[in-house]
Amino acid sequence: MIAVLALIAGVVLGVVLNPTVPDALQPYLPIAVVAALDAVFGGVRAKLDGIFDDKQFVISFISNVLVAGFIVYLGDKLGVGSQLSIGVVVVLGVRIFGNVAAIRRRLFKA
Amino acid sequence: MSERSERPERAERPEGQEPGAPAPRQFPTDMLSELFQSPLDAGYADAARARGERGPLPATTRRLRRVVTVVACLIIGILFSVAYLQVVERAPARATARAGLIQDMKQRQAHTDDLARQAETLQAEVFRMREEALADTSLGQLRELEAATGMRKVTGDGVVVTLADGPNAANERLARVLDIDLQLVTNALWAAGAEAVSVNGQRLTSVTPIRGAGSAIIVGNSHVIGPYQVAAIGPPEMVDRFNDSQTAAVYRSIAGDKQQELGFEVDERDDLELPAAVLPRLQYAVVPKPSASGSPSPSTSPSGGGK
Repeated sequence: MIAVLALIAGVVLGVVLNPTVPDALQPYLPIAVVAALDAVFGGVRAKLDGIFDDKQFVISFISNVLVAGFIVYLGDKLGVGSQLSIGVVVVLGVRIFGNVAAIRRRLFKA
Repeated sequence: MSERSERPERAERPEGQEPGAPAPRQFPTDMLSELFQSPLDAGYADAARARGERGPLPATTRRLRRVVTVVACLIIGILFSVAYLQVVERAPARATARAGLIQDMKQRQAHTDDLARQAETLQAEVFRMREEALADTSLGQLRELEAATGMRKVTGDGVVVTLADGPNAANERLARVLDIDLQLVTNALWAAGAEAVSVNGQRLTSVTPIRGAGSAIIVGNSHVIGPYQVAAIGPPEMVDRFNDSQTAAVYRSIAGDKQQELGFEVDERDDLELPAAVLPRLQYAVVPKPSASGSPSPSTSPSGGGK
């Protein structure tokens, strides 16, 4: 619950502060968002499963964002940046869908 | 936890996991199907199992970890809103740049129009002052010369030849009016006895070019767009002479051609008014001064801008 509040507070804070993102980091922002979404839905599912773990959540978030960003960075350097971003989005998207499906089953029993 | 209990135990731990939960290391044979079946990080299950074996952590550690989670959630929230704001911000940047360019263009256009108007009034003033200064006989002569060269606004009866792009001009190059069409029509009009000719309000002088620039047609210094109206003032028999000319015949046949269907119309009009041409930059031939080397060449070099 407090995590959800923190999430909302973060959104509000981001809107209010509106920090400028350095140009070098801008290409990684969308990928970071998808990676963060994956961590969030994983955490929600774990919470519903009753096995949520703070450390696991934080580390999965950080590593998700870093690995996704690194893959895209590597892709940019190799000239396959957009293709690798698609790969990252597909994999994370599949995970998000799986987790959301599990959440849905748990919440609605359907 | 129902689905997870059916799955074989795995020790493929993500980083940052508590050590001390040894399990045989297995790798799924099919990475993709594994990915689809178990989206959840195995780490949650492993951590839960470890917690079950070891018992709950001390309260302070748990509280600290909760704080870290809250901070992570805060960061995720900021990430979401920042990413969203970035996307929203970038779209108007493009739109404003475009709007700025359009505004710039309109401003310049208005400026050009202003300058043209100014030039017109100044020219009118020059004419008026000259008429005051000159004697009647030379004035009449001057007027005639100016009318003939296009330097003076003229009114009179004449003909308007309208040329227009064919209906499928977008795809068919032959269906478009080209600079040569305007050249041929104006030449035919001159040949038919026209005393003054203008294309879309651009008066022609003896040195006014009609030329194509890409897909645009430029008459003098300004570009004209279709339908092109070639107006000519001349003697009454000019219309018949033009209609009998070979050029008119050619364009009538082109207008009837299925593939081209150029618009071609000849209208007799009374009281046409043709504006004065923009004064061209006069070029004078000058005799070059005999140079020191002593080889006076008779060639004349045009010196632009001399008045």
